[in-house]
Amino acid sequence: MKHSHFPDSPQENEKLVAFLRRHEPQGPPIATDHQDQLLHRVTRAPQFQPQRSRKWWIIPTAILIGGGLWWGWQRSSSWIPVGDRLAPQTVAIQTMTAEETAALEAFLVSSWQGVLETDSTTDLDDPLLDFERLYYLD
Amino acid sequence: MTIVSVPDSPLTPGPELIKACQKGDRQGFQQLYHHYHQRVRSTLYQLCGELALDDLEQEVFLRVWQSLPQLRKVNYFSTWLYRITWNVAMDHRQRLGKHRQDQQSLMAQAQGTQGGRSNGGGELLQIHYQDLVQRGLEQLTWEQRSVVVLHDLRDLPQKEIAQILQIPVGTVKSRLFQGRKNLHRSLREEGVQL
Repeated sequence: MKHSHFPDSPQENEKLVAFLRRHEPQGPPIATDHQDQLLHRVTRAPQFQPQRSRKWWIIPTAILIGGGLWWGWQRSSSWIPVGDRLAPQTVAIQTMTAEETAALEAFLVSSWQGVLETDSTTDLDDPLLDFERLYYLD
Repeated sequence: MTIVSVPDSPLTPGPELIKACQKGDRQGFQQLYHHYHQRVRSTLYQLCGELALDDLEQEVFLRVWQSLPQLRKVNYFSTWLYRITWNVAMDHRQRLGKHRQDQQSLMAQAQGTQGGRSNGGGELLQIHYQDLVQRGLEQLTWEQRSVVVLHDLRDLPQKEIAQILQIPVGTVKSRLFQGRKNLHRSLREEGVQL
């Protein structure tokens, strides 16, 4: 197999580049009339004017939408269910009757009882509990 | 056929001329064209060969004219121009497909040689060497050829070539090394002693 010898020395590079420039392929010259036609055609074409960025409206629109969403979320979070409908929290508190208050208390007590009662089937000291939670229950 | 090298104007067009062209100054664009067209044409020829050379040159200057108002930094005009030139050459290459392009290029060369370029011994030798260089360039990969043409023939710094081709400077260096190595081998195989 024939290997080409290419010493990558600055002198060799200079010789190669000098040769390339001395014998640079120019290609056929363009005819003068063709040159005129080219310039005529090119400069008659419309130029693409730089367009102003159409993204200027994105920031204020995003602020407006974000503000609207935040306002809506604030409003919705201050509403609570009253019967089968939603009502503003302040109004609901004012209009809550004695029966509704008692029902709410009973609901809270029954909910918390379940939490405080010890489940006989669950041994909190079981060393496999965390293992199961990690590998099987997730 | 006589190959004439048209020297570029010694004065580089300043930012004022480019700004005038951005505003649609046709006379100014003619000056710009006359300053750069030979370099653009030679680059296109070295990258793509003789086929469709006039059309490619027109395409480059059409894109330049149309897009000039969008050029923000007029000081980078030269880099921008070479990027457009390279893009046009790249598009042309992709359109034709490499195999077809090589075939047509060889045919065009054969026709050009038969067309009577010989006008005396010295000129014949010069044409012979130019053909060797052109053939050597055509044997390089597209990537190597682009870097060798821009660096060794257009005399652009590596950093600018990296901007034009949108590649790292290290890649420019490695492509230049490989390109020169292959070109050197190609010229040696043709009997050229550097």
